[in-house]
Amino acid sequence: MIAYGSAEMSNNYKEVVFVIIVKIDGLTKKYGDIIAVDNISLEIQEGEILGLLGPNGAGKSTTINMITGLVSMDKGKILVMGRDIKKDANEIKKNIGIVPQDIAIYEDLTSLENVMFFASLYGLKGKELKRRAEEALEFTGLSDKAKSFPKDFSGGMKRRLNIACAIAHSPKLIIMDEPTVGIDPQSRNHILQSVKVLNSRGTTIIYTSHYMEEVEEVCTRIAIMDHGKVIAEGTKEELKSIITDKRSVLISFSGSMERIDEAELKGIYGVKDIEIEENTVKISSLRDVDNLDKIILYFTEKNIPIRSIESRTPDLETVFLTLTGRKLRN
Amino acid sequence: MNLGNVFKIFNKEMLHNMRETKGNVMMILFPIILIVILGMALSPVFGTQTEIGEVKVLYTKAEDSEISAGFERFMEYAGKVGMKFEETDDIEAGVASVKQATYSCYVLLKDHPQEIILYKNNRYYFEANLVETMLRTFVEKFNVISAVASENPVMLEKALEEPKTGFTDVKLLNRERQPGSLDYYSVTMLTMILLYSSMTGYWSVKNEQNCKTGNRMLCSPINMREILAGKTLGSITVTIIQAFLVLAFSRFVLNAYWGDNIWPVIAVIVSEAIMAVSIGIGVAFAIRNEAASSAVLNTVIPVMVFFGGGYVPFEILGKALQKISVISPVRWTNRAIFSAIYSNDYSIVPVAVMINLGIAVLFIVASSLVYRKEAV
Repeated sequence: MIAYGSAEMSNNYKEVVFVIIVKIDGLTKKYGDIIAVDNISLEIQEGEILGLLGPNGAGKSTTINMITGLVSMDKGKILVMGRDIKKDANEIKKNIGIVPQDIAIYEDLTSLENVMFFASLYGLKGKELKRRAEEALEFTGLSDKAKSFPKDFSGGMKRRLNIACAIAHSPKLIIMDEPTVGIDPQSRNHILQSVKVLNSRGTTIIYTSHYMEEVEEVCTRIAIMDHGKVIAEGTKEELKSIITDKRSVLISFSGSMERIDEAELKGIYGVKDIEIEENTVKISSLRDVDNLDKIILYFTEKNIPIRSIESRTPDLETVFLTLTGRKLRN
Repeated sequence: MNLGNVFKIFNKEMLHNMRETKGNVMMILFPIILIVILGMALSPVFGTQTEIGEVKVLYTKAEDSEISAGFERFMEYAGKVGMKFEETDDIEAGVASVKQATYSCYVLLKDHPQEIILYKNNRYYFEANLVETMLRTFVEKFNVISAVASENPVMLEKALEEPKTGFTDVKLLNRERQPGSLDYYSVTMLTMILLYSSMTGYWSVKNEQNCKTGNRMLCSPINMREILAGKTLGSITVTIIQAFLVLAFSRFVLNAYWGDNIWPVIAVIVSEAIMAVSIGIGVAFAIRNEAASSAVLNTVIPVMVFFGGGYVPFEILGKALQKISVISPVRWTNRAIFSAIYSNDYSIVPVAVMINLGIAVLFIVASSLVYRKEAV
């Protein structure tokens, strides 16, 4: 599927070709009376890293499973590289690499055997198979563990092997479903860097995560899903612009916060949302209302000692909260 | 179906199974230990020293009937192989003598309608079975002669002279051999452990489900049938290798008797391996709950082995249980193997193979249907 768009650059008119690698149209999936995916439409362009954000049960995994052909759809259409998933599933699968949320590797096969086995299913064989498998291990930082069994690996190493098994056959589209769940910061950084490198080589990536900061860091475009629907879609800036009518201050306290009354705080003109955590309060107010002096006065009058005040621009967490009314990791 | 893809899955299954040291040791050592223990502990139960010369048969015949005349010829032959016959007119006393185990069996010949009734005491298990086998051959011969006499009396003389249809075919019975306890348990423990190899098939599926690798394979451009075929073949191959190691050990180390013609026995063993693995794979797909599916297999297998005579010779357990035993494929497998080894009777071999393969097909088709539901 090739879609043509245009862009004006400097004084010259230049035609830019947008290649749509995945086109989802009216996709619906029901499990009994529950609508897991509700008539969603989405386009993913070649070279993008699309972040799929949503709480548990939002429909992300079901959508992904329908793209990979693992789950059948009730209605709608999925075209991957211009081919219909219903008609050309095998041809489409050749070009997809899947990094499942649950680590899907064999503990009794070595790292190299794992990667070679999964890559062989995509038609690679002989020396080429071994070379690509070794490259995939090197890419994920596991080349020195090629002959080791994953049962002795840390969670982060297993996650990296999980990725190696998905990339050895050089797919054009990689789907990563929560690839960093439960791992150490070092492995997470390694994986995020790997995602960027893969993308820089031209691979299109669909990336789902509970971690907003990851999505903000690596994704070029984000689709927010909730209750089976795509409720917002765009670049980070586009999504943030949805809620630019708000700004936030984060106030930390050095003393007891027991005297804070949420209702009283909301009574201050302009205040819209309040989040009280251990020793901080996050207050979101209407952008055009200057009420910081009143907020500080409130705490001063209550004899609640303020340690610091931090002004915050809206982040994706705020965007998500605004759109869905709940936190991502609820 | 792409055979290259099937081979890839097969290859992986072989790697898994060959590295499953505990499972392999159990599947090979467990039956060998049982053969040795049961073979030694229960050797007195098996009459390995029983000679045909000790067979004492009591009979009552109908006066001047065709069947009695035929029975005279039967006794003439049976006498040559050491059986001793005594006649009695008292039917009740004849039956009582078998109950009291004075005789190996009692034969009652009736004229109207013509029938032969054999009373046997399981205390003389092998002797009575020998008489029964010879009598059956005699009855077949008798029926043939009767039919020829009524349809074509001219051919009667020829029929009587025809050696191949005569009850002298009993000569095929290997009277040098009756299964000793070691021989018996070499067969039954092997067929038992083969049925337990359904666990190999079962875990080959469950492990994919537990490791989530099954879904990963389904996301690749490989056919679901290819995955199923590769997994089934891999498990069957490993099971057959294990079975042959047990067979070789019992044959060459324990000197168990496996007959003069091993090929029919191998055919039955291979068919049982195919059936067992298919059952395991079918159950793994049909019952998603691991505890429940494992419990089903661990309950059904011992029952099937019991009904198949795996633990004790089934013939000594009574008629009611014998009737139920037809439901056990192990019963057919064991019967086919024992008949082939000790009677050179291969007629049950194709029956057992067909039963085993039939069950295998049933479970593989069921697995395929359930697997298809899991995929697109």
